[in-house]
Amino acid sequence: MPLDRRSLLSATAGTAVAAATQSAWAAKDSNFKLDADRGRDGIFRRIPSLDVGSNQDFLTEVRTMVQSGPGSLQEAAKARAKELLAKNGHAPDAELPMADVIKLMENDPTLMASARAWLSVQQLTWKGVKDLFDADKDRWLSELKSAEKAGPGSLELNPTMHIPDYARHEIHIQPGGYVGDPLAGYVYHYGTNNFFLGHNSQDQQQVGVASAAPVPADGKIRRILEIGCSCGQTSVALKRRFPEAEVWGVDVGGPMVHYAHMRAADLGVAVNFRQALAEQTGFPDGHFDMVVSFIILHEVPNSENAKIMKEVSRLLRPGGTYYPVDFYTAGAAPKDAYGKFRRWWDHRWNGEPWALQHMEYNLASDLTVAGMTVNKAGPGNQLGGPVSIRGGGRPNLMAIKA
Amino acid sequence: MATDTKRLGAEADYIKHDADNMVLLGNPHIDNLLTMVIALGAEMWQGQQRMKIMEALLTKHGKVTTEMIEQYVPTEAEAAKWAAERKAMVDRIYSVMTRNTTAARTFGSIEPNIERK
Repeated sequence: MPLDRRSLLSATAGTAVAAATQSAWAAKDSNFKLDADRGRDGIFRRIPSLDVGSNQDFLTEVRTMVQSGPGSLQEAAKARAKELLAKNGHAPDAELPMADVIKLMENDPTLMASARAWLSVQQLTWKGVKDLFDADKDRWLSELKSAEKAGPGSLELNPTMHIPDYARHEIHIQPGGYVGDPLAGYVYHYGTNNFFLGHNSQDQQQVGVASAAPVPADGKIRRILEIGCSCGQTSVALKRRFPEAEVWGVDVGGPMVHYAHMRAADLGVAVNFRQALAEQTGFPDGHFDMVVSFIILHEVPNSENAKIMKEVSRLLRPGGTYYPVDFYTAGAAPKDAYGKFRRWWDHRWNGEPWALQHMEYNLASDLTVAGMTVNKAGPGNQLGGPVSIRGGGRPNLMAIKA
Repeated sequence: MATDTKRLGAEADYIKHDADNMVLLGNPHIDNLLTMVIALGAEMWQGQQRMKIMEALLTKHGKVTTEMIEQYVPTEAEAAKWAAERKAMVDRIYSVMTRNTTAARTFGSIEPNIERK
Protein backbone atom coordinates (compact mmCIF):
# COMPACT_ATOMS: atom_id res chain seq x y z
CA MET A 1 0.00 0.00 0.00
CA PRO A 2 1.53 3.34 -1.00
CA LEU A 3 2.53 5.57 1.87
CA ASP A 4 0.19 8.53 2.27
CA ARG A 5 2.67 11.35 2.39
CA ARG A 6 0.17 13.63 4.04
CA SER A 7 -0.03 11.36 7.03
CA LEU A 8 3.59 12.18 7.79
CA LEU A 9 3.04 15.87 8.32
CA SER A 10 -0.16 17.60 9.28
CA ALA A 11 0.24 20.75 7.18
CA THR A 12 -0.59 21.71 3.58
CA ALA A 13 -2.66 18.75 2.51
CA GLY A 14 -4.15 19.35 -0.93
CA THR A 15 -3.49 23.07 -1.10
CA ALA A 16 -1.12 24.89 -3.37
CA VAL A 17 1.16 26.56 -0.87
CA ALA A 18 3.57 28.97 -2.42
CA ALA A 19 4.92 30.43 0.81
CA ALA A 20 8.51 29.59 1.62
CA THR A 21 8.95 27.25 4.55
CA GLN A 22 11.29 28.73 7.08
CA SER A 23 13.43 26.39 9.09
CA ALA A 24 13.29 26.92 12.84
CA TRP A 25 17.01 27.61 13.16
CA ALA A 26 17.22 29.56 9.92
CA ALA A 27 14.87 32.16 11.34
CA LYS A 28 17.61 33.08 13.77
CA ASP A 29 20.31 33.38 11.14
CA SER A 30 20.12 36.63 9.26
CA ASN A 31 22.56 35.37 6.64
CA PHE A 32 20.28 32.57 5.56
CA LYS A 33 18.49 33.19 2.26
CA LEU A 34 15.13 31.69 1.56
CA ASP A 35 14.48 33.13 -1.87
CA ALA A 36 15.10 29.85 -3.63
CA ASP A 37 13.03 27.82 -1.22
CA ARG A 38 10.20 26.12 -3.12
CA GLY A 39 8.53 24.78 -0.05
CA ARG A 40 7.91 21.19 0.90
CA ASP A 41 6.08 18.18 -0.36
CA GLY A 42 5.41 16.41 2.93
CA ILE A 43 8.81 16.05 4.56
CA PHE A 44 10.62 16.54 1.28
CA ARG A 45 12.10 19.96 0.71
CA ARG A 46 11.45 20.45 -2.99
CA ILE A 47 14.58 20.69 -5.08
CA PRO A 48 15.38 24.42 -5.40
CA SER A 49 14.83 24.64 -9.15
CA LEU A 50 11.70 23.82 -11.11
CA ASP A 51 13.71 23.07 -14.23
CA VAL A 52 16.11 20.69 -12.50
CA GLY A 53 13.21 19.05 -10.69
CA SER A 54 11.38 18.52 -13.98
CA ASN A 55 14.56 17.22 -15.59
CA GLN A 56 15.00 14.77 -12.73
CA ASP A 57 11.36 13.66 -13.00
CA PHE A 58 11.97 12.79 -16.64
CA LEU A 59 15.17 10.93 -15.88
CA THR A 60 13.29 9.01 -13.20
CA GLU A 61 10.70 8.01 -15.77
CA VAL A 62 13.42 6.85 -18.17
CA ARG A 63 15.03 4.86 -15.35
CA THR A 64 11.65 3.23 -14.71
CA MET A 65 11.32 2.33 -18.39
CA VAL A 66 14.82 0.89 -18.33
CA GLN A 67 14.58 -1.25 -15.24
CA SER A 68 11.12 -1.87 -13.98
CA GLY A 69 8.30 -4.12 -14.95
CA PRO A 70 6.72 -5.43 -18.14
CA GLY A 71 7.92 -3.75 -21.32
CA SER A 72 11.07 -2.50 -19.65
CA LEU A 73 14.49 -2.62 -21.21
CA GLN A 74 15.50 -4.96 -18.42
CA GLU A 75 12.83 -7.44 -19.50
CA ALA A 76 14.15 -7.28 -23.04
CA ALA A 77 17.67 -7.80 -21.70
CA LYS A 78 16.57 -10.81 -19.63
CA ALA A 79 14.96 -12.35 -22.69
CA ARG A 80 18.12 -11.71 -24.67
CA ALA A 81 20.23 -13.31 -21.95
CA LYS A 82 18.09 -16.45 -22.20
CA GLU A 83 18.58 -16.50 -25.96
CA LEU A 84 22.34 -16.25 -25.53
CA LEU A 85 22.37 -19.01 -22.96
CA ALA A 86 20.31 -21.29 -25.21
CA LYS A 87 22.45 -20.47 -28.22
CA ASN A 88 25.49 -21.55 -26.23
CA GLY A 89 23.92 -24.75 -24.94
CA HIS A 90 23.03 -23.56 -21.43
CA ALA A 91 19.74 -23.86 -19.55
CA PRO A 92 17.98 -20.55 -18.77
CA ASP A 93 18.81 -20.90 -15.07
CA ALA A 94 22.33 -22.19 -15.63
CA GLU A 95 24.79 -21.21 -12.91
CA LEU A 96 27.97 -20.14 -14.63
CA PRO A 97 31.18 -18.73 -13.18
CA MET A 98 31.27 -14.93 -13.32
CA ALA A 99 34.10 -14.94 -15.86
CA ASP A 100 31.98 -17.04 -18.25
CA VAL A 101 28.97 -14.80 -17.73
CA ILE A 102 30.98 -11.73 -18.61
CA LYS A 103 32.48 -13.39 -21.67
CA LEU A 104 29.05 -14.51 -22.86
CA MET A 105 27.24 -11.25 -22.35
CA GLU A 106 29.56 -8.29 -22.41
CA ASN A 107 29.53 -7.76 -26.15
CA ASP A 108 25.84 -8.27 -26.75
CA PRO A 109 24.32 -4.98 -27.94
CA THR A 110 20.94 -5.47 -26.25
CA LEU A 111 22.44 -6.38 -22.90
CA MET A 112 24.98 -3.60 -23.03
CA ALA A 113 22.37 -1.08 -24.18
CA SER A 114 20.26 -1.89 -21.13
CA ALA A 115 23.27 -1.35 -18.90
CA ARG A 116 24.32 1.79 -20.75
CA ALA A 117 20.87 3.35 -20.61
CA TRP A 118 20.73 2.84 -16.84
CA LEU A 119 24.22 4.20 -16.35
CA SER A 120 23.57 7.20 -18.58
CA VAL A 121 20.54 8.06 -16.46
CA GLN A 122 22.69 7.66 -13.36
CA GLN A 123 25.35 10.00 -14.69
CA LEU A 124 22.81 12.57 -15.85
CA THR A 125 21.01 12.39 -12.50
CA TRP A 126 24.14 13.15 -10.52
CA LYS A 127 25.27 15.84 -12.93
CA GLY A 128 21.94 17.64 -12.86
CA VAL A 129 21.70 17.65 -9.08
CA LYS A 130 25.36 18.43 -8.46
CA ASP A 131 25.49 21.25 -10.99
CA LEU A 132 22.46 22.82 -9.32
CA PHE A 133 23.90 22.82 -5.83
CA ASP A 134 27.41 23.70 -6.96
CA ALA A 135 26.05 26.78 -8.76
CA ASP A 136 25.13 28.25 -5.37
CA LYS A 137 27.74 26.51 -3.28
CA ASP A 138 28.21 29.34 -0.81
CA ARG A 139 24.55 29.33 0.02
CA TRP A 140 24.38 25.65 0.83
CA LEU A 141 27.66 25.65 2.72
CA SER A 142 26.33 28.55 4.75
CA GLU A 143 23.16 26.58 5.46
CA LEU A 144 25.20 23.63 6.68
CA LYS A 145 27.49 25.75 8.81
CA SER A 146 24.63 27.76 10.29
CA ALA A 147 22.97 24.55 11.39
CA GLU A 148 26.02 23.01 13.07
CA LYS A 149 25.22 24.28 16.52
CA ALA A 150 21.47 24.15 16.06
CA GLY A 151 19.18 21.68 17.73
CA PRO A 152 17.38 19.55 18.25
CA GLY A 153 20.07 16.89 18.08
CA SER A 154 23.83 17.33 17.83
CA LEU A 155 26.59 17.06 15.28
CA GLU A 156 30.14 15.80 15.75
CA LEU A 157 32.41 16.24 12.77
CA ASN A 158 35.88 14.70 12.91
CA PRO A 159 37.86 16.38 10.14
CA THR A 160 41.16 14.82 11.23
CA MET A 161 39.92 11.25 11.47
CA HIS A 162 41.61 8.63 9.34
CA ILE A 163 39.38 7.70 6.42
CA PRO A 164 40.40 4.34 4.97
CA ASP A 165 40.71 4.06 1.21
CA TYR A 166 37.76 1.68 0.99
CA ALA A 167 35.46 4.54 2.00
CA ARG A 168 36.94 7.10 -0.38
CA HIS A 169 35.51 5.69 -3.60
CA GLU A 170 32.84 7.41 -5.67
CA ILE A 171 30.17 4.97 -4.61
CA HIS A 172 27.38 4.78 -7.23
CA ILE A 173 29.60 7.07 -9.32
CA GLN A 174 28.29 9.99 -7.27
CA PRO A 175 30.88 12.70 -8.03
CA GLY A 176 33.12 13.06 -5.00
CA GLY A 177 31.52 10.08 -3.29
CA TYR A 178 30.37 10.38 0.28
CA VAL A 179 33.55 11.97 1.59
CA GLY A 180 34.89 14.22 -1.15
CA ASP A 181 32.15 16.74 -1.92
CA PRO A 182 31.12 19.18 0.83
CA LEU A 183 27.59 19.13 -0.60
CA ALA A 184 27.44 15.32 -0.93
CA GLY A 185 24.43 15.15 1.38
CA TYR A 186 22.31 17.32 -0.89
CA VAL A 187 23.43 15.45 -3.99
CA TYR A 188 22.81 12.06 -2.41
CA HIS A 189 19.39 12.96 -1.02
CA TYR A 190 17.98 14.30 -4.27
CA GLY A 191 19.82 11.85 -6.50
CA THR A 192 18.67 8.78 -4.63
CA ASN A 193 15.06 9.81 -4.90
CA ASN A 194 15.58 9.24 -8.62
CA PHE A 195 17.31 5.93 -7.92
CA PHE A 196 14.25 4.80 -5.97
CA LEU A 197 12.13 5.69 -9.03
CA GLY A 198 10.66 8.76 -7.38
CA HIS A 199 9.18 6.71 -4.55
CA ASN A 200 11.35 7.96 -1.73
CA SER A 201 10.46 11.61 -1.31
CA GLN A 202 8.84 10.75 2.02
CA ASP A 203 11.70 8.44 3.04
CA GLN A 204 9.47 5.47 2.27
CA GLN A 205 12.38 3.03 2.09
CA GLN A 206 13.83 4.18 5.39
CA VAL A 207 10.45 4.36 7.12
CA GLY A 208 9.98 0.77 6.07
CA VAL A 209 13.26 -0.24 7.66
CA ALA A 210 12.62 1.70 10.85
CA SER A 211 9.09 0.35 11.12
CA ALA A 212 10.27 -3.23 10.92
CA ALA A 213 13.35 -2.96 13.17
CA PRO A 214 12.86 -5.51 15.96
CA VAL A 215 12.86 -4.31 19.55
CA PRO A 216 14.60 -6.13 22.39
CA ALA A 217 12.48 -8.76 24.14
CA ASP A 218 12.44 -6.78 27.38
CA GLY A 219 11.08 -3.75 25.58
CA LYS A 220 13.73 -1.40 26.98
CA ILE A 221 14.87 1.07 24.34
CA ARG A 222 17.00 3.90 25.68
CA ARG A 223 19.43 4.31 22.83
CA ILE A 224 19.40 3.39 19.14
CA LEU A 225 22.26 3.60 16.66
CA GLU A 226 22.20 3.62 12.90
CA ILE A 227 25.56 2.74 11.34
CA GLY A 228 26.30 4.08 7.85
CA CYS A 229 23.49 6.61 8.24
CA SER A 230 24.34 8.63 5.07
CA CYS A 231 21.93 11.60 5.04
CA GLY A 232 20.06 10.41 8.08
CA GLN A 233 16.74 9.29 6.67
CA THR A 234 16.58 6.03 8.61
CA SER A 235 17.83 7.74 11.76
CA VAL A 236 15.02 10.30 11.52
CA ALA A 237 12.49 7.53 10.93
CA LEU A 238 13.80 5.64 13.98
CA LYS A 239 13.46 8.73 16.18
CA ARG A 240 9.92 9.23 14.93
CA ARG A 241 9.07 5.63 15.79
CA PHE A 242 10.84 5.78 19.17
CA PRO A 243 10.51 9.40 20.27
CA GLU A 244 11.67 8.64 23.82
CA ALA A 245 14.91 7.03 22.69
CA GLU A 246 18.24 8.77 22.18
CA VAL A 247 19.02 8.15 18.52
CA TRP A 248 22.45 8.36 16.92
CA GLY A 249 23.58 8.09 13.33
CA VAL A 250 27.20 7.56 12.32
CA ASP A 251 28.77 7.78 8.90
CA VAL A 252 32.34 8.02 7.63
CA GLY A 253 31.26 10.81 5.28
CA GLY A 254 31.61 14.17 6.97
CA PRO A 255 29.49 15.85 4.27
CA MET A 256 26.79 13.23 4.83
CA VAL A 257 26.38 13.76 8.58
CA HIS A 258 26.77 17.49 8.02
CA TYR A 259 23.66 17.39 5.84
CA ALA A 260 21.93 14.75 7.97
CA HIS A 261 22.10 16.98 11.02
CA MET A 262 20.94 20.08 9.14
CA ARG A 263 18.00 18.17 7.70
CA ALA A 264 16.96 16.52 10.97
CA ALA A 265 17.15 19.85 12.80
CA ASP A 266 15.16 21.46 10.01
CA LEU A 267 12.51 18.77 10.45
CA GLY A 268 12.56 19.30 14.22
CA VAL A 269 13.66 15.71 14.87
CA ALA A 270 16.26 15.19 17.60
CA VAL A 271 18.90 12.88 16.17
CA ASN A 272 22.57 13.05 17.06
CA PHE A 273 25.05 12.56 14.26
CA ARG A 274 28.74 11.65 14.47
CA GLN A 275 31.29 11.34 11.72
CA ALA A 276 32.86 7.97 12.47
CA LEU A 277 33.61 4.59 10.99
CA ALA A 278 31.04 1.89 11.62
CA GLU A 279 33.84 -0.33 12.88
CA GLN A 280 35.14 2.34 15.25
CA THR A 281 32.25 4.41 16.52
CA GLY A 282 33.79 5.59 19.78
CA PHE A 283 30.78 4.71 21.96
CA PRO A 284 31.14 2.74 25.21
CA ASP A 285 30.50 -1.01 25.49
CA GLY A 286 26.83 -2.02 25.71
CA HIS A 287 25.70 1.54 25.04
CA PHE A 288 22.83 0.75 22.69
CA ASP A 289 19.65 -1.29 22.83
CA MET A 290 19.21 -1.40 19.07
CA VAL A 291 21.51 -1.05 16.11
CA VAL A 292 20.15 -0.70 12.59
CA SER A 293 21.85 -0.51 9.24
CA PHE A 294 20.47 0.09 5.77
CA ILE A 295 22.50 -0.69 2.64
CA ILE A 296 25.93 -0.14 4.17
CA LEU A 297 27.22 -3.70 4.20
CA HIS A 298 27.63 -4.13 0.44
CA GLU A 299 29.62 -0.85 0.32
CA VAL A 300 32.29 -2.27 2.61
CA PRO A 301 34.91 -4.99 2.00
CA ASN A 302 34.04 -8.29 3.65
CA SER A 303 37.10 -7.99 5.87
CA GLU A 304 35.86 -4.68 7.24
CA ASN A 305 32.33 -6.01 7.68
CA ALA A 306 33.79 -8.60 10.03
CA LYS A 307 35.14 -5.73 12.14
CA ILE A 308 31.82 -3.90 11.94
CA MET A 309 29.98 -6.94 13.28
CA LYS A 310 32.39 -7.07 16.23
CA GLU A 311 31.76 -3.39 16.87
CA VAL A 312 27.99 -3.88 16.68
CA SER A 313 28.26 -6.71 19.19
CA ARG A 314 30.40 -4.58 21.49
CA LEU A 315 27.95 -1.69 21.31
CA LEU A 316 24.85 -3.73 22.11
CA ARG A 317 23.84 -4.54 25.63
CA PRO A 318 22.76 -8.15 26.32
CA GLY A 319 19.43 -8.71 24.59
CA GLY A 320 19.98 -5.81 22.24
CA THR A 321 19.03 -6.25 18.59
CA TYR A 322 20.83 -5.65 15.32
CA TYR A 323 18.71 -5.25 12.19
CA PRO A 324 20.72 -5.05 8.99
CA VAL A 325 18.84 -4.47 5.74
CA ASP A 326 20.90 -5.02 2.65
CA PHE A 327 21.11 -6.84 -0.64
CA TYR A 328 21.07 -10.37 0.72
CA THR A 329 19.62 -10.09 4.21
CA ALA A 330 16.23 -11.28 2.92
CA GLY A 331 17.37 -13.57 0.14
CA ALA A 332 20.44 -15.06 -1.50
CA ALA A 333 22.81 -13.50 -4.00
CA PRO A 334 21.86 -14.23 -7.61
CA LYS A 335 23.19 -17.45 -9.06
CA ASP A 336 21.60 -17.17 -12.50
CA ALA A 337 23.69 -15.79 -15.33
CA TYR A 338 21.63 -12.67 -15.96
CA GLY A 339 21.55 -11.78 -12.25
CA LYS A 340 25.29 -12.13 -12.11
CA PHE A 341 25.68 -10.03 -15.25
CA ARG A 342 23.75 -7.21 -13.59
CA ARG A 343 25.87 -7.50 -10.46
CA TRP A 344 29.00 -7.37 -12.58
CA TRP A 345 28.27 -4.16 -14.46
CA ASP A 346 26.88 -2.59 -11.33
CA HIS A 347 30.23 -3.37 -9.67
CA ARG A 348 32.40 -2.33 -12.58
CA TRP A 349 30.61 0.75 -13.86
CA ASN A 350 28.28 1.96 -11.13
CA GLY A 351 30.92 2.44 -8.46
CA GLU A 352 30.16 -0.63 -6.38
CA PRO A 353 33.73 -1.74 -5.62
CA TRP A 354 32.74 -4.35 -3.01
CA ALA A 355 29.50 -5.63 -4.51
CA LEU A 356 31.00 -8.72 -6.10
CA GLN A 357 32.79 -9.93 -2.99
CA HIS A 358 29.67 -9.10 -1.01
CA MET A 359 27.87 -11.81 -2.98
CA GLU A 360 30.05 -14.29 -1.09
CA TYR A 361 29.82 -12.56 2.29
CA ASN A 362 28.62 -14.72 5.16
CA LEU A 363 26.96 -12.19 7.44
CA ALA A 364 25.45 -14.81 9.71
CA SER A 365 28.86 -16.32 10.32
CA ASP A 366 30.47 -13.00 11.23
CA LEU A 367 27.60 -12.15 13.56
CA THR A 368 27.96 -15.50 15.29
CA VAL A 369 31.72 -15.09 15.64
CA ALA A 370 31.05 -11.65 17.12
CA GLY A 371 28.90 -13.17 19.85
CA MET A 372 25.40 -12.64 18.53
CA THR A 373 22.56 -15.08 18.00
CA VAL A 374 21.35 -14.97 14.43
CA ASN A 375 17.75 -15.33 13.34
CA LYS A 376 17.48 -15.53 9.55
CA ALA A 377 13.71 -15.17 9.77
CA GLY A 378 13.51 -11.79 11.42
CA PRO A 379 10.80 -9.26 10.53
CA GLY A 380 10.44 -8.42 6.87
CA ASN A 381 9.72 -4.90 5.71
CA GLN A 382 7.00 -3.90 3.29
CA LEU A 383 6.95 -0.27 2.41
CA GLY A 384 8.41 1.39 -0.61
CA GLY A 385 7.92 1.57 -4.33
CA PRO A 386 8.96 -0.73 -7.11
CA VAL A 387 12.63 -0.45 -6.23
CA SER A 388 13.01 -2.22 -2.97
CA ILE A 389 16.19 -3.79 -1.78
CA ARG A 390 14.49 -4.64 1.43
CA GLY A 391 13.07 -8.02 0.56
CA GLY A 392 9.49 -7.06 -0.24
CA GLY A 393 8.19 -8.40 3.05
CA ARG A 394 10.29 -11.55 3.09
CA PRO A 395 11.87 -12.45 6.43
CA ASN A 396 15.02 -10.43 7.02
CA LEU A 397 18.01 -11.53 9.03
CA MET A 398 18.42 -10.07 12.50
CA ALA A 399 20.73 -10.73 15.42
CA ILE A 400 20.50 -10.54 19.20
CA LYS A 401 23.39 -9.87 21.52
CA ALA A 402 23.86 -12.82 23.82
CA MET B 1 45.59 16.36 -0.74
CA ALA B 2 43.04 18.75 0.78
CA THR B 3 44.21 20.60 3.83
CA ASP B 4 42.15 22.32 6.48
CA THR B 5 42.76 25.67 4.83
CA LYS B 6 41.38 24.36 1.56
CA ARG B 7 38.32 22.61 2.98
CA LEU B 8 35.02 24.24 2.15
CA GLY B 9 32.98 22.04 4.46
CA ALA B 10 33.40 18.53 5.85
CA GLU B 11 34.97 16.98 2.79
CA ALA B 12 38.14 14.89 2.46
CA ASP B 13 40.17 13.44 -0.41
CA TYR B 14 38.40 10.85 -2.50
CA ILE B 15 39.23 8.20 -5.10
CA LYS B 16 37.84 9.04 -8.53
CA HIS B 17 35.96 6.39 -10.51
CA ASP B 18 36.75 5.93 -14.21
CA ALA B 19 33.09 6.08 -15.24
CA ASP B 20 33.95 8.80 -17.75
CA ASN B 21 35.92 6.16 -19.67
CA MET B 22 32.93 3.84 -19.91
CA VAL B 23 32.31 2.39 -23.40
CA LEU B 24 29.61 -0.26 -23.41
CA LEU B 25 28.32 0.02 -26.96
CA GLY B 26 31.55 -0.61 -28.83
CA ASN B 27 32.22 3.01 -29.73
CA PRO B 28 32.41 5.91 -27.27
CA HIS B 29 30.45 8.11 -29.67
CA ILE B 30 27.56 5.64 -29.66
CA ASP B 31 27.63 5.63 -25.87
CA ASN B 32 27.60 9.42 -26.06
CA LEU B 33 24.67 9.40 -28.47
CA LEU B 34 22.55 7.34 -26.09
CA THR B 35 23.38 9.64 -23.20
CA MET B 36 22.67 12.69 -25.33
CA VAL B 37 19.28 11.37 -26.47
CA ILE B 38 18.24 10.73 -22.89
CA ALA B 39 19.49 14.17 -21.86
CA LEU B 40 17.63 15.81 -24.75
CA GLY B 41 14.38 14.15 -23.74
CA ALA B 42 14.79 15.51 -20.23
CA GLU B 43 15.48 19.01 -21.59
CA MET B 44 12.33 18.82 -23.73
CA TRP B 45 10.21 17.73 -20.79
CA GLN B 46 11.67 20.51 -18.68
CA GLY B 47 10.31 23.08 -21.14
CA GLN B 48 6.97 21.33 -21.43
CA GLN B 49 6.56 21.20 -17.67
CA ARG B 50 7.19 24.90 -17.40
CA MET B 51 4.60 25.57 -20.10
CA LYS B 52 2.03 23.36 -18.40
CA ILE B 53 2.49 25.31 -15.18
CA MET B 54 2.21 28.61 -17.06
CA GLU B 55 -1.04 27.44 -18.65
CA ALA B 56 -2.39 26.37 -15.26
CA LEU B 57 -1.52 29.71 -13.71
CA LEU B 58 -2.97 31.72 -16.57
CA THR B 59 -6.15 29.68 -16.42
CA LYS B 60 -6.48 30.07 -12.68
CA HIS B 61 -5.17 33.57 -12.13
CA GLY B 62 -4.97 35.26 -15.52
CA LYS B 63 -1.39 36.23 -14.82
CA VAL B 64 1.95 34.63 -14.36
CA THR B 65 5.34 35.60 -12.99
CA THR B 66 8.60 33.67 -12.88
CA GLU B 67 8.26 33.30 -9.14
CA MET B 68 4.73 31.93 -9.44
CA ILE B 69 5.94 29.31 -11.92
CA GLU B 70 8.93 28.35 -9.78
CA GLN B 71 6.87 28.03 -6.61
CA TYR B 72 3.87 26.32 -8.17
CA VAL B 73 2.58 23.26 -6.34
CA PRO B 74 0.44 21.14 -8.64
CA THR B 75 -2.85 19.72 -7.46
CA GLU B 76 -2.99 15.96 -7.12
CA ALA B 77 -4.95 15.79 -10.34
CA GLU B 78 -2.39 17.91 -12.19
CA ALA B 79 0.51 15.90 -10.79
CA ALA B 80 -1.10 12.65 -11.87
CA LYS B 81 -1.96 13.98 -15.33
CA TRP B 82 1.52 15.36 -15.94
CA ALA B 83 3.13 12.15 -14.66
CA ALA B 84 1.03 10.17 -17.13
CA GLU B 85 2.02 12.54 -19.96
CA ARG B 86 5.65 12.23 -18.98
CA LYS B 87 5.45 8.45 -18.99
CA ALA B 88 3.73 8.49 -22.36
CA MET B 89 6.47 10.72 -23.74
CA VAL B 90 9.17 8.37 -22.45
CA ASP B 91 7.35 5.43 -24.00
CA ARG B 92 7.00 7.21 -27.35
CA ILE B 93 10.68 8.11 -27.53
CA TYR B 94 12.49 5.24 -25.87
CA SER B 95 10.36 2.11 -26.06
CA VAL B 96 11.96 1.31 -29.41
CA MET B 97 14.98 0.26 -27.38
CA THR B 98 13.03 -2.73 -26.11
CA ARG B 99 12.31 -4.20 -29.54
CA ASN B 100 13.56 -7.70 -30.06
CA THR B 101 16.66 -7.48 -32.19
CA THR B 102 17.37 -11.19 -32.46
CA ALA B 103 15.79 -11.37 -35.88
CA ALA B 104 17.18 -8.02 -36.97
CA ARG B 105 18.79 -7.95 -40.38
CA THR B 106 20.88 -5.31 -42.07
CA PHE B 107 19.43 -3.47 -45.01
CA GLY B 108 19.21 -5.50 -48.21
CA SER B 109 20.50 -8.74 -46.76
CA ILE B 110 17.37 -10.74 -47.53
CA GLU B 111 14.41 -10.38 -49.79
CA PRO B 112 11.13 -9.24 -48.20
CA ASN B 113 8.54 -11.92 -47.51
CA ILE B 114 6.12 -10.67 -50.20
CA GLU B 115 4.10 -13.86 -50.53
CA ARG B 116 3.65 -14.28 -46.72
CA LYS B 117 5.23 -17.71 -46.70
